[in-house]
Amino acid sequence: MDGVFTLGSGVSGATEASDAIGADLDARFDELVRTHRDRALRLAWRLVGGDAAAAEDVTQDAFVRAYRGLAGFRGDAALETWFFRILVRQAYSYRRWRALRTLWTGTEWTDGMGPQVDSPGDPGLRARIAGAIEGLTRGQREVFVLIHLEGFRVRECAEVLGKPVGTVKSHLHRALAHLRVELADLQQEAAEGCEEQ
Amino acid sequence: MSIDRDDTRVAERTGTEAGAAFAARIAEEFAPAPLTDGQRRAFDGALRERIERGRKPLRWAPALALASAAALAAFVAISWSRIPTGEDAVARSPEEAIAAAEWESELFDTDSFRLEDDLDDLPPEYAAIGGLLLGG
Repeated sequence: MDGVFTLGSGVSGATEASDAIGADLDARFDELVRTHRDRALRLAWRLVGGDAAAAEDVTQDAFVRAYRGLAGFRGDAALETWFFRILVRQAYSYRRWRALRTLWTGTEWTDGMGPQVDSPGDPGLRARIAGAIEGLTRGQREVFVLIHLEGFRVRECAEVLGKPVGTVKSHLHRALAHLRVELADLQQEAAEGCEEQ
Repeated sequence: MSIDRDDTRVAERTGTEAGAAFAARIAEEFAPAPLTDGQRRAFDGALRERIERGRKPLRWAPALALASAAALAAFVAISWSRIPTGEDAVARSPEEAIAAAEWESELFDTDSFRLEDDLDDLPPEYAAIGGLLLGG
């Protein structure tokens, strides 16, 4: 991406000053996309249960919203935190819409919409993990994905979700407890691996 | 924001080393295929298109608003021109008024309507069922 997104410079009657501001915003947006595109897609993929097409839609929507809101971004939080907050909300909106569509049409979400076949690893295991993560509450799922799967720190996750650190820790504890039951074989395997070492 | 996995205290978050290994295993298995350069270019292209598309309506929105307002004004003007005013408003003849009244009474007057009358037109078995339902 070579500075192709234009914010202020596309506005008719823009002055030199607004052109300069627009160019600065363009550069920031370019940087945001270049730096976080891959992670954003992966995070969205995990939040929507492994649906690649949905993950792309969610990520695109989040970037478009960030693009529109960048001029008004006041810097109260880090730009990345702000963007990932948009992304997580967008993923949640998608999930809500999907649940409504499932309710309306009566079709199961898993029909051709689960983890994609081109993903690496064992498809059966991946589907089981997706199912177990789907079984978490919204808060537990978001916290688990952000911290354990995407490597956010607890404080960073709390900032992204706009929740107290204590709540995040509580969600995390419950999410792990749930997954240890649902994926007991993986838990056992991990424990044995640690003992051997 | 530092989101490097090495920078996070995984064992602290999971409580135990086995918990950390368990979470790492899930992270390893539940991940999409890494993006290729072509996919990145396609993503950027689609994003650029969406942003451009989102901006375009702003250019013709004033024209659309003006056209909508003109269409609404024309509709209102035509509608008003069809409403009888002045002498035209009382131009209906007494015959026309009576005909209209009869038509309205036919539509709304249920006293003259008897379902039983229609039963005679039905085949005998349907008429019998109809009669049972009507209590006749």
